[in-house]
Amino acid sequence: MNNKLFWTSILVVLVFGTILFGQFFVDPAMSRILAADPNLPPSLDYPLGTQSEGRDVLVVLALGAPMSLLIGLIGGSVALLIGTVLGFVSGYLGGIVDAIIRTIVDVGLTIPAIAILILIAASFPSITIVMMGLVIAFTSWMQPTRVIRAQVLSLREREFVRLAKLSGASNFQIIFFELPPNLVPFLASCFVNAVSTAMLASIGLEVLGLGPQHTHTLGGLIYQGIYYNAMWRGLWWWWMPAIFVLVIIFLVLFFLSLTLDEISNPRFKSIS
Amino acid sequence: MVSVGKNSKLLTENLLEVNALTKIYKDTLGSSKKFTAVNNVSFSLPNNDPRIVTIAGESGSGKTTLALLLLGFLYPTSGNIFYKGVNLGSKEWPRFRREVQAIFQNPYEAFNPVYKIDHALVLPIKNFRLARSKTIAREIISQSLEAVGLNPGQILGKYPHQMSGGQLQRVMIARILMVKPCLIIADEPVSMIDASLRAVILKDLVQIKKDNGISIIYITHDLSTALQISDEIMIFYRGSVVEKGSAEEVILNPKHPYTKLLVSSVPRPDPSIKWENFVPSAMADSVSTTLPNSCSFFENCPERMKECKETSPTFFKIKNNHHAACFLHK
Amino acid sequence: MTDILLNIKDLCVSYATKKESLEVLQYINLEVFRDEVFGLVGESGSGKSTLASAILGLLQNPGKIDQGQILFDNEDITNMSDKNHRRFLWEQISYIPQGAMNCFNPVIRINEQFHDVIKDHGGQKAYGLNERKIAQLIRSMHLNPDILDKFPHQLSGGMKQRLCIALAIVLNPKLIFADEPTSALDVISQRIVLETLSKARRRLKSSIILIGHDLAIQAQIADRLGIMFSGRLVEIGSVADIFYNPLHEYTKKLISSLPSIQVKQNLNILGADKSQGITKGLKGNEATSFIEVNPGHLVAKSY
Repeated sequence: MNNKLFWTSILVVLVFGTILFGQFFVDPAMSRILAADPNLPPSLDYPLGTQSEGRDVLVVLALGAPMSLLIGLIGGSVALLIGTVLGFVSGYLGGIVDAIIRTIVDVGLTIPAIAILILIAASFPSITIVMMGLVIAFTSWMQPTRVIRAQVLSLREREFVRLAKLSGASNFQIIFFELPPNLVPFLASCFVNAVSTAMLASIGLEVLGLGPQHTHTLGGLIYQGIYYNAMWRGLWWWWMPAIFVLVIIFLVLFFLSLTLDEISNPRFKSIS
Repeated sequence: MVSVGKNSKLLTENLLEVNALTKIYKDTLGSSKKFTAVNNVSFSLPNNDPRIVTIAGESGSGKTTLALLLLGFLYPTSGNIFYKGVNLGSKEWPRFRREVQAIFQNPYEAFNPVYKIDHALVLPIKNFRLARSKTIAREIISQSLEAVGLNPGQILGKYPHQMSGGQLQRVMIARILMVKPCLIIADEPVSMIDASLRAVILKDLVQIKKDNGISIIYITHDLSTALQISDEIMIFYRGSVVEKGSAEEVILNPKHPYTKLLVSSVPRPDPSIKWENFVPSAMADSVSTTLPNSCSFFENCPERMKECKETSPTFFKIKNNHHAACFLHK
Repeated sequence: MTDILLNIKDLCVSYATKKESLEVLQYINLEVFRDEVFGLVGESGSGKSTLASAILGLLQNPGKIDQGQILFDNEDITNMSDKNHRRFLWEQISYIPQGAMNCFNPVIRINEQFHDVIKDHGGQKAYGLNERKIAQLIRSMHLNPDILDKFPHQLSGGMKQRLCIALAIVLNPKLIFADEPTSALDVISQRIVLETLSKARRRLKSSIILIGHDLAIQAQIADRLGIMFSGRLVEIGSVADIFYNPLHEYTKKLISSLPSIQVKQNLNILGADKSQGITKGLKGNEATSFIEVNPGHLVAKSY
């Protein structure tokens, strides 16, 4: 198990490192309109060719991929933060507090997130990376709240919680010091899921043209491809690399999630 | 006899006074099926007279529910629990929390697995302000560990999963010694411990009672250990007390049919004393709940009479310190 | 045909893990006769479950038999092939696991599970079995045959345990391993289960190896006992020998720590040293040779 975690971490560091730091190895000027001749296929000068506005595809990719990652991180972190606080409070305190939070969560879950996202994104003329992350968090905090609450519900019946009470611990002490360390592996797993969900949502919006207009993004690249009919025109170097990068990112996140699941859920541990 | 004054304080103060305590669980919302876990239990522990009282019963008898009620982790459906004259339902919580401590059955569950065991010892010191400085705290912890026969150097700094059940249970006892409660609720403290260590831990409990004047409610299904350490005993069956009295009296001279069955079923560690007469199989199979106005043991009692089905028996005196809830002894 | 059903010679088992191994067996020498109950007594970590697994051929990686022989009815079963093993298990030797929940598949009715076992392991013996005989078996467990239509979760712990016993004896095995069959049961259920097991065995004339740490139960049911400590057998003898004349230090301490329900003793008499309970002063690396003090009563040469 330790072995798996080790190699998965190496993979994560390599892939995400490349994505995050790739942007510093390219010339941003080449991502502007008409920086080069449009619709050039891949060559030595332009390894991924250029698209219809004359931008170097490789440069756009290198600048856009980290942005998608960033949105995912912001969206995922905020959603998890809200989910953790609400999940702990609701799960541990029970009663009215739990009833209120649970109702909001259940109602929120039935409203299709896409609809809300599109509505919000479309109401703003332009939207920044941070704003996008926050908007996505706003529609995705419900799921983490729910699963974390369920974990807390089972944790709070454990005997060490009773012993803490017998040692004079206040509710605050229990919620913030006794319970959380027991959930760290689970929360890590939740975090990875939240980031994946946020990235997916953001790419969805970007592909529809509702993403940040003034920054390059992965989804934005694909949106442009659709807009300029890259597929019909055989400009495969435009949309294929972007999708390839997307697949890699999701695969890595998936492996990470599986490994973390194994750690946090002892039932899945293989007999060593 | 109970006299109740203003502000729900009792005028005659016992350490613990339990009156008509009942806990009923409803099956599901709106369902009429009810399960009575604890049925009309009353007893008291006097102040300034430390004793070990055993609550003995099989699994499903309600003894764990009773423990949780006494510790305030569950709320009764009806009835009262008074600690030093104050109703548990009222607000004087913090004092109660320190003065009533517990030992749980599974030592691995009682410790928070992500912290070293030091955490469980430091927490009460912090919250109850038992030491003014870290040095004094360390002193107190070391002393308590040594008092139960543990070496602080070998114990502190370890995680619960690195220690044996017996060691952990003794750390529990050390913790209790530090906190100095007035009452300990010990819920099957040795049932998950190896036989060789049980005597040690039970001896510690008896010592605690003697040296510190602390009363202990010992909850168990093991009648032999109950005989060894308790002063008084109450036999539980399906949530009701069926027989009570001094431990020697009740175990060596049982009068209620259930107690008689229970005592005779305990395997004697002596090959020349074997179980007599096979027990009717109905005993182990019934899972239904008691009818409201009948004896809880009616269905399985080999000596049942018509009366037992129609009225719930009260306690009849057999001797001064021995009562049984059975019409056979009217 | 000798009286010896199971003969274990110099058995050594080890676990190859990075962490310290808890259950290791060293030079186990043991004989179990026909038509007897042999009690294997030891505390957690003594190796009794490992011994059972080794004999049943159920040792999982990284555990393995390093040396020694296991002879069942004069046949060497130490390294049986999987195919033979299937037939062998249940027909000749069966197993009642600790905790009845391990016995039954929760989504299959009881009678199907009986049929599954018979089909998998039955061979020759399965031909004689039919519904009527199975119902008879159930009744001998003091259970109502209509239990066969139920699912495991509808039954109480004691009932499931008795069904486990029925499952273990359905093919009339010569030897039955019962691994702490009553550890999760309360006193009255325990008595019923053990007496049922005892009666069934006497009827079939099979042998039982009863594994457990509870000496009181052994006193009620067993004929002979083997005391295990730290991977070794330290004493073997009849149940009377062990209880009335324990020879080994460890056995003596085990016997003396038993609380009595007949007399209120002073706990001091039971006295155990505070620091390590019984096991203080006993070393694990003792010599493997046995001395036969009385016929049938063997004790390991002590340190």
